Amino acid sequence: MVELNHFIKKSLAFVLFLALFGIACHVLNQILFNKYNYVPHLSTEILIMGDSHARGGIIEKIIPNSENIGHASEPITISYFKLKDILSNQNAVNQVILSFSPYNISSTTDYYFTDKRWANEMLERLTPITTSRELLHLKPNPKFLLDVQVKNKFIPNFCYLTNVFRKHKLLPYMSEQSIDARFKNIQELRLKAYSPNQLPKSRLRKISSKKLQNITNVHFHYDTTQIFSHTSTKYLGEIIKLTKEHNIKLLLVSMPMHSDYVQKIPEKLDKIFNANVKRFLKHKHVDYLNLTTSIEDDRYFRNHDHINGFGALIATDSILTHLNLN
Amino acid sequence: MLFNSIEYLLFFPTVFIIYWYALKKNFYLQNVFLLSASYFFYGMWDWRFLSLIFLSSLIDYSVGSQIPQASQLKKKILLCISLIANLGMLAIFKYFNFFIENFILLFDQIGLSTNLKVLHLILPVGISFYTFQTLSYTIDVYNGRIEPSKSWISFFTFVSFFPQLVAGPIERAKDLLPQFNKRRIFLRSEGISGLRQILYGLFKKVVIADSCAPIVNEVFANVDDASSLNLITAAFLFAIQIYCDFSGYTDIAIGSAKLLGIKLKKNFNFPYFSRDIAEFWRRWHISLSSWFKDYIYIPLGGSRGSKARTLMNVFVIFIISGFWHGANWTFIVWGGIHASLYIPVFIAGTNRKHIANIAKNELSVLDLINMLFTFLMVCIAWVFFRAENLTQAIYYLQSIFTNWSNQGIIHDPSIYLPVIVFIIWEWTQRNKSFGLDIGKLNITIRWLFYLFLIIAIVYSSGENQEFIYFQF
Repeated sequence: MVELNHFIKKSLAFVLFLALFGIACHVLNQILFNKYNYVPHLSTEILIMGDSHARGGIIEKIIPNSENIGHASEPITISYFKLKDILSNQNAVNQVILSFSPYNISSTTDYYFTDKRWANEMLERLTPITTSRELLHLKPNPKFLLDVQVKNKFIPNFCYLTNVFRKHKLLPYMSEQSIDARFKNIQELRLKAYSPNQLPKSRLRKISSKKLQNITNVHFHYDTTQIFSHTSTKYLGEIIKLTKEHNIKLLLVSMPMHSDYVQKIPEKLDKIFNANVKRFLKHKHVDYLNLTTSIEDDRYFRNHDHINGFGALIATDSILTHLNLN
Repeated sequence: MLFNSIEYLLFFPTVFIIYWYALKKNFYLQNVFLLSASYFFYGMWDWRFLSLIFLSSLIDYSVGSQIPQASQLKKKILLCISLIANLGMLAIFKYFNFFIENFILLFDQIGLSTNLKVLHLILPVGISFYTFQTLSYTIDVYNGRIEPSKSWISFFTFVSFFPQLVAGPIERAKDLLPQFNKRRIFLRSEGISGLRQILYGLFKKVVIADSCAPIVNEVFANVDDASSLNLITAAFLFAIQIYCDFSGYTDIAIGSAKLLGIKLKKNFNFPYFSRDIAEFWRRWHISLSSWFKDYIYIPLGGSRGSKARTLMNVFVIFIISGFWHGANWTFIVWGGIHASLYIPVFIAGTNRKHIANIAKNELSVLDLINMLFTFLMVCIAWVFFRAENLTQAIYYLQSIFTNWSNQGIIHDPSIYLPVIVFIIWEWTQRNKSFGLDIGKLNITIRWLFYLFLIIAIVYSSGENQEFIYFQF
């Protein structure tokens, strides 16, 4: 019994040591989240946001004074919290471009905070820019939430720690490289982009219809009981409200998709999407640009729902024209 | 329930507190509690398969208690009952479909049609481990090596003891059963050592093995796109992954048992630092190797017969060992490769050559070269172990020589540093009982070390990956 009690005492002392370490980390991380947060350049007037369609399809180099902070698989919910966080600091943003397609309001996005496939990553992206209460509103899977909270708050957050040493802070977990890195000589590439015959052969033929089926199944039929997400629609409404409060114009852009993919969008979801667009357009500061079927040639696509670099040049030019920035 | 889950983090301390504080005065009640906890632990995975463990325990307990009084003929019948029951369960749940598929294939090739159909069965977790454990009890009772257990509670606890229930070490009744028949005493040194071993096991599983898994999975699934370097790297990383996964599980099992006052046998002894394949098999999955040696190799005649007979016995053991791992030709070939590496060493009579060197802790340049060569051979064999089928394994190995011009698969390089640091650390610890046997270090350094490991585990945690050996 003496040995056991001694062991328990020593173990508890170590647990106490761990708890103190955890608390110290929590305080330090909170300082990091607040003080060394992502802030756009003071010259940035246009923020490009959304999922991989914005990240890989809109070239910030072409749009003056813009920054692309889109992120692959980013649901509207995360875009809202990112924008809210950015606008809480000093900034010169007067325009937000948000990629917006039927998939962004499909019921699949409701699973982003509960399903094993996405929850960990999505909750990690949210932790530094939300309060615990805001996170709980998203009804996340408690197991993933606990794991992510411990990982991000109670041990040193190495990802955010790097922000202390950077001149221009990064949003956490944005490891994906912007498409801009691939555009060194824009004029030359633009000439090529507008001469389809000069473009390399499409890779789309290599992408089987099975892959298209798989991707559309995930995008539109992950939940067979419900077609669209109330949460994503609600947070889009919050983005509209937030931009209005800050006197910021909002451009919703449906990025180009391959016709094979467009055909697979369920009619019901498409109708809800269009009805929502109509509703949002009632707000004076909201505008909508539909590029969904603006590109037809396979050579502008990297897969069925993503344009490649040449497609991005054309899509970005269309956005520029729409914004009268040409 | 997985060791690397929050459930276990809650389950084990609860068991520990009740076991030592509420029940410490009565080892019988401790056994009843351990049995219930073990059934709960297993039932969390699938309660329906508890019936198999119960049935296996019941048969072997009944058979074991009748053997001493039985006539020679009845003894044999009783032993057969145990063998048929345990191996029958294995045959149905693990091997039935394999044999049916191969019969269908064979009949197809000779132009005959069959009405045979495969069954859609779930493989009960740990079935190969606990059936072997109960079998060893009956065989030992039959051979008069041990007395039959007088308490069914002790026996049932021996079969289902949760730390080692689903992936070993495969314990012998003579070692484990007596520990359930006497009062356990908690030793602080053992408790601390147990916690250290659990921590190290978790580190190996969560930080190393689970980080290697995505790269290995991606390369094995896309051999065509992978470059030669990708293929070599993935084979190397799989060797690390399977070692850290399985030995990590064993460390957690041994550590958990230590905290409950139970001593389990060592299952791994830094196997990748072996100078030849014979030494590798004295260091890798020791409890299985010794099981095969005692219950198959020696009954077959061991090394007592002619040279040819002995070699045949060695070969049989390796093939059975491969087949034990799974109902797939890949495992059989894996066993065959190890046999073909072992037999030359055996013929040369050098299979026990390095035992003295290990004892003396001597190491020469030649030893290092031998270690690298043995590791290389083991890695090649692992390709068969990991591949879906033989065609994929052969194609994988061929592609190593042909895919030099492939652009390859780009993956996160951050895994390499922890793997390299881990290998260096294991090397420095190779003469210790396990990788984190650091009791002699200053307490501040020790605690900082634990803290570092805990941070690494939390940082690498995410989805709880199952242990590879659960499928066997």
